[in-house]
Amino acid sequence: MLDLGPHASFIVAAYGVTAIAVAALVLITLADDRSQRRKLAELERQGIRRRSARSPKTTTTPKTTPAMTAPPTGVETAETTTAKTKTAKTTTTKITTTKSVPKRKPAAKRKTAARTKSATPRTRKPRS
Amino acid sequence: MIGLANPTRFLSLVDRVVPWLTALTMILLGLGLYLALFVAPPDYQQGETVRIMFIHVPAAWLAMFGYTVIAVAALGTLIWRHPLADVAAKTAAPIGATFTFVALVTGSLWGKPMWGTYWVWDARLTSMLILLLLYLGLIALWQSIEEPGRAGRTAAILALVGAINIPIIKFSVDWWNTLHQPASVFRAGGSTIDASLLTPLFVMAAGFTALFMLLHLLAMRAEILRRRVRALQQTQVERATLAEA
Repeated sequence: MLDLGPHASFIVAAYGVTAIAVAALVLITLADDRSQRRKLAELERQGIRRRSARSPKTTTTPKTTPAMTAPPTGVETAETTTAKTKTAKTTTTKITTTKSVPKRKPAAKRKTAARTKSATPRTRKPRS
Repeated sequence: MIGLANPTRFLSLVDRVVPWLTALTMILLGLGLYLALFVAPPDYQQGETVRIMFIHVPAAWLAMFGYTVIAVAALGTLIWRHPLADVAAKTAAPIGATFTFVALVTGSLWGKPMWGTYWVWDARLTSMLILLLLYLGLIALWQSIEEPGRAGRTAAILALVGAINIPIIKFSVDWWNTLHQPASVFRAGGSTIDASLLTPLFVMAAGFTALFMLLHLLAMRAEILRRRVRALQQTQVERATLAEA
């Protein structure tokens, strides 16, 4: 048995208070963590999900707008940003690959066309 | 840090780190308690009461460390608007408050047999009591404002104002004539404590630090989930209102 001398009660009390305080802190933290997990699972079971946590197909469809993939509010700011960026990127890629975008004329040709247009005299329409 | 701004990525990191950190904490605290209670010799002046120091000193260090974490996180909230800074600050407060409480109580229990009194209005003791009150004030502030963003910004300002207390606690024993002894571990001329007492102290300090980090990560995970639940409940209410209309 550990001999703690004449001040054993103070030593035991100090270790006891510390053990109780730390144990309470650990239990409260774990209970809170479990409680939040349970609440989140319950909400998801009811079909209420974060928009970013829904099926990934909706985010890759070209018609999907970034706003539709954003989660509601709160701490999801960064996720919202990431989701928006991802969706925007996906949409852009899809558009460029699926639609035939007309090619722009070279810069020299565009300048010439502009000069010709400005050189053309403006004519008024005759009044009827 | 920027990569961890995404709460989902942060949660996945926490899930991976927590089992390892739990094992490390248990090993360090187990070894520390063994060294503190069975290996460390009694002090030539304090006798067996020196064993209180193995929990009092790490608790006091962690109390100050906790507030420093809050102050840095407050900067993250106000300057960089890091999404997890507010979560980190809010969840560090109860842990820091617990360690401050432990430091004050164990110090008091050591003071009675050594100084002949549980409490004196000494600069070190008083500044530690102010630290506990600051922690409690921050917790109350977070609880009183419902909107997390607004609560975070308000608490960040209070946390930064209160950060002035940290150097006061550290240097109070040098600036004023106190009953509390001056620094004996981290000082310019080296530690004044013998290695047989210093080793258990450092092992216990490492164990307390690991425990702080473990609890902080778990509390941060719970807080992120709480905000998700809150956001989903708001969506649920909005949907119900729209359906009624």
